[in-house]
Amino acid sequence: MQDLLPELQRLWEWLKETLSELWTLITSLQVPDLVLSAAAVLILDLFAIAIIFAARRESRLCQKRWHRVSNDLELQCRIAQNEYHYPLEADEILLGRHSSADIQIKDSSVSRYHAVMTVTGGTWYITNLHAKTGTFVNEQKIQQKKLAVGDCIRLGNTHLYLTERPFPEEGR
Amino acid sequence: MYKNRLSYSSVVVLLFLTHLSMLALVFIRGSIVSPLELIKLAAAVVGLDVGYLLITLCYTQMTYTLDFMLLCILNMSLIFQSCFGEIQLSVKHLLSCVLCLFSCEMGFLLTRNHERIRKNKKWIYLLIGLLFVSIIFFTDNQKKWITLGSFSLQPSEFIKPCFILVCAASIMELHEKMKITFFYISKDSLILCLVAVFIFALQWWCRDLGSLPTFGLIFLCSLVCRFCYPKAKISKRSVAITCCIGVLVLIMAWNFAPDYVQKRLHVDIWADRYGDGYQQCEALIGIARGGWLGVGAGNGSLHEIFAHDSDIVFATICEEWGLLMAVLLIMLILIMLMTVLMNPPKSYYHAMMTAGVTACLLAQMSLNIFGSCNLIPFTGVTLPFVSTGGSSMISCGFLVGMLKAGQSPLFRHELMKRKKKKQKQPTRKGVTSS
Repeated sequence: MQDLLPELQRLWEWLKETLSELWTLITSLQVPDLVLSAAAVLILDLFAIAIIFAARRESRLCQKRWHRVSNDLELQCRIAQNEYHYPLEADEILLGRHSSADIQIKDSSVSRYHAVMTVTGGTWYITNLHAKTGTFVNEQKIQQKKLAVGDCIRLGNTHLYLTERPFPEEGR
Repeated sequence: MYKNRLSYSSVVVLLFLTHLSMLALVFIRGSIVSPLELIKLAAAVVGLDVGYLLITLCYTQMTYTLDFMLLCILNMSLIFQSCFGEIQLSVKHLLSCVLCLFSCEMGFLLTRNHERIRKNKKWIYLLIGLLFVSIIFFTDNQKKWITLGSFSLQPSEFIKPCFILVCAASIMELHEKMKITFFYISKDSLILCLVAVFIFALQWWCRDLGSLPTFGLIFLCSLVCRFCYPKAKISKRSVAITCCIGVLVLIMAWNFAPDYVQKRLHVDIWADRYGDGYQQCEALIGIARGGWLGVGAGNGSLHEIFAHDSDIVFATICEEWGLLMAVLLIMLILIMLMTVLMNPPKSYYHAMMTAGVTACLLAQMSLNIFGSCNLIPFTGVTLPFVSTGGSSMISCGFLVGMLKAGQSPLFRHELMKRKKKKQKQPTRKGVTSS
């Protein structure tokens, strides 16, 4: 133990000397401002790029999660020989004639806010919103009903079909 | 490993490198009086980084990029604020940063569940009411601040997140309309309009006209979300009516604005250099003096000007750190807002919340930066995450928490699973609780 103490003291002295030399060396270094600032800016840029890539990976992950939640379905509607496709991209979708509805159906027999579709764990439900002409699923008048792929929803005189999306996105 | 099973090693390494390179810049180019202060600053920055990264590991989130961005920006602002004039750790700003991070987590946990917000809307209305009362009855002569000993609070800052929440919550009940004379309007939309009118009136009464554009833009976003929700077509009549009302209000505000506002709108800062244009003139001179790379941390002279660390903070950063670093800081805040666009929210509520928060932060940034550069009249609005001020930092943290909630929402089946889990939890006697 007594031998160790002088050794430690010598080591401490050496460490102090080395540190003070290093300090003198660092403070005497004349690194051009431009190089230093450019390095800091470059690192900041790299951080921003890494963040954008991370956000893209997260976006794909969230899309996968959404496919699991929504079952990747869409609503098809035929109006005057035109076929419209509405992907179900929100957890609550409002169907109606009004322009602020998610899916606007320009049919006077459809109420302003006719029905609402909600998703729970991959299953879609439709709820009638006090519409006078009622909401029908496979020609059965309903207040609330669980939907399955291929079901025909009738709002007023408009028919909508719940189908799988033809080309599911890569994230699935 | 984070709970979404993605690896963020490169982001974390670059986050640390960013802060270390800035500290190296302070060390080499700054005017260091005491090395101990620099060590304190470095310890605070690294401590904040490590502490918050460990805390985020505890939460189940789908996205973490907003956390990294917020941490990066806050620590940058801590380094900036600690170097204005002399290099000394700004303990007050460090505390504000910690509060900002805390309120970010609070914002995330409180707003991610839209069913809970839908049920507890009345409490948000009550909170706004209380903030109104506190502004009217408890603020000092300037009608802005509540002074509590050595602390002062600005209640109007807290109204911003509450107002965005009201906008978001009211959009969920859009279809529940009632007829008032010729108009069909939902009860929540009516309350929202009343809240908005009251906020505008209050801001006018407080002479806090700088915040008016921020609230105006949030309200405009809320209207746009109502008019053109994802797949709906815009009703031309509604848009035309809203535009007309907006233009009418702007013309009236322009004509009936108080004298000091009129003066500020038309002031020639160089003609009145030592009067009303003093701060802006000094700010512009400071930006020019700093050039691309700045004069070095602590070597600037703008720290002698009033509100150098809040209203004209952009110019102070430009002077000491250079235009390049200041623009990069702003770019980082913009990237933080843009990452949200990569993963669009999947519900009415979260979409409106995200749009509102983005509008609020963009408005504040524009007012501060363009005001400092004399491109628009000087408003005295703070630069989010950078300016000093606890109220502003807490409010901004909460807003980022709301953005995070939009990125990692709770869907219905997850809520149902949680309810089932709660129901299955056994009681002490081994009987399942109802």
